[in-house]
Amino acid sequence: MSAALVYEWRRITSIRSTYVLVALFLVATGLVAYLVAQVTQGSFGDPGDGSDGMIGSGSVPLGVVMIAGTNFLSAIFVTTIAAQSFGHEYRYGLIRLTLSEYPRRWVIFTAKLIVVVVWVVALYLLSMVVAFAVVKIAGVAIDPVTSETWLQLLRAGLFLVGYSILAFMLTLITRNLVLGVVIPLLLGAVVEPLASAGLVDRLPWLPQYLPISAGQTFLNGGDDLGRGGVVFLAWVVGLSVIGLVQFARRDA
Amino acid sequence: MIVDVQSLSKAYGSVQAVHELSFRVSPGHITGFLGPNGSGKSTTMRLMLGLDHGTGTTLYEGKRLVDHRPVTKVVGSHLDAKFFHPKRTARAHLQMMGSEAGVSRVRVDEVLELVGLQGVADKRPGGFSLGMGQRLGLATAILAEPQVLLLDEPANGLDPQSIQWLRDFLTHYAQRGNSVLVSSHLLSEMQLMADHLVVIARGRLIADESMSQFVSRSTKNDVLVRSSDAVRLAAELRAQGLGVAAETPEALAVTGAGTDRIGDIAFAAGITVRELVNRQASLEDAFLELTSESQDFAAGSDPGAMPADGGAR
Ligand SMILES: Nc1ncnc2c1ncn2[C@@H]1O[C@H](COP(=O)(O)OP(=O)(O)OP(=O)(O)O)[C@@H](O)[C@H]1O
Ligand SMILES: [Mg+2]
Repeated sequence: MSAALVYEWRRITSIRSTYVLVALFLVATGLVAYLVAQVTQGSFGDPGDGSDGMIGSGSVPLGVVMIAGTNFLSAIFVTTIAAQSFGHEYRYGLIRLTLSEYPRRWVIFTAKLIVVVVWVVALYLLSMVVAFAVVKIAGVAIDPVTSETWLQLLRAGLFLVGYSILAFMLTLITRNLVLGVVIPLLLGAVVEPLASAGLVDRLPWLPQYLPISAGQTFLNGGDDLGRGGVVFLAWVVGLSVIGLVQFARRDA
Repeated sequence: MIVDVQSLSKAYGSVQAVHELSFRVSPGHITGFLGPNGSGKSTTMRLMLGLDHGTGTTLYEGKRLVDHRPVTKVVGSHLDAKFFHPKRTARAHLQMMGSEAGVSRVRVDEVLELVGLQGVADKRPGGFSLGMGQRLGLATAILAEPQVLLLDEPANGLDPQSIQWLRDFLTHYAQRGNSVLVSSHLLSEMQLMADHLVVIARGRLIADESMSQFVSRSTKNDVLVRSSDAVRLAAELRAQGLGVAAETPEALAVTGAGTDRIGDIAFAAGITVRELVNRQASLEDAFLELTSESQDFAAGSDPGAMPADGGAR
């Protein structure tokens, strides 16, 4: 397994597009953090700390700003990094070389998954630093950090990891990098909101079981947090199992 | 290392690409892997590597590939000249591919130099020519100094000097006790390089024998006889049950006997013989004869013919 981890690490660090995507991710995150800070500053305080929040309080809840990395724009870049893990190998036929080196397929599957998760977590931590720096440099006042802030940040990190794994698995299943990135994005930004709105009368429970909606319920906190988390996790695990089984069974 | 291929079969939908194929690749020499287009050579190599799932097994020194470690010291393969990321430099590609066997940087440089890519080691291979891609593929295959090499048309796209280099390289590699299986459509090249042949057509084994045995099966192994009285000589030879074809008014192509017997027959009949030589068929002759019935994608037999209504409208 350690050799496969080395392989995967060398793979991800030896193409420039990884670094370009990291840069784009951080820029997008900084931008969104700045906008969120500007908007938040003039409108409301942190409802997460139990208070009602004060309109025009002049300070922003740190947690809201620092989860900027999980917005759809930023997430595109992270999920692309995750999708490239298998996407590049299928696109360029390299998968056949990879699998001749690692014929036990679950080994390379696991190594790729681990490396992707490590990168996503590292990028998320980096994005928080960037968001914090942007808010500080912009001279925006920040609300004191509460334990709820930390939980919010943790949930956002978990959401980003899960979302990236969805992209990773969808790329593996479709063997197509673009689909792996676009499907979760379309689901979250278009399909699920439309389906939920369109079917609100007939299937009012539907949004609870859609992957990205459930993930966002978990991310946003509130009463349905637990159920959202479980549904989101079920999607991630379910697609991972399908991905691995297919990967092991199909021809390279 | 002996590679034992045991009844490999693989179907893609209704296409039976490989059917109950068994053969052995032995160390110490080069085994040529021949077959018409679509006969299943590449599929067989993918099956041998466990890339495609079919039935049957391939044993490397008695063990399946998955039970060996490091795998890349057992078998190195080169299946396609394009298996790399166009933006990852040749050196980084090799360093990545060397991870399984823990290949050192020094070895990466060595291999780059060996295949003549040292000058472009830090260039992106997206712009590589076909021949350069083949070299990078070969470099990947030999990186961990495997005991078995599986090469699918490695000479495709190489210039004559490079082909000669490849032949020398593979010959030496095999002589060091390694097993080499190489497919190619360049039959004259294969004749110079391989000692043993595995020939398949439509996924089935046609021949698994030494180069000389295979070539001797061709009817083009004959004796050329030139004589002042070719007509009478032909009659005498036919009377002895030999096959005779007139090539020119005074030259005959004779099959079914060697130069000694033909000389004796002519002497007994009192016919002057001016030339008497053994002619050996080429690998190409033998291959074309033995696979003529099993070609899947035969082109029209008359390459000069034009479609009846082709051309102007
Ligand atoms: N992935 C695939 N899907 C469907 N059919 C396939 C696939 N790969 C190979 N085949 C079929 O299997 C048969 C054998 O193909 P293969 O590529 O192994 O032949 P080959 O001997 O390598 O031919 P060539 O000399 O042209 O390289 C062909 O009929 C081909 O169409
Ligand atoms: Mg082929």
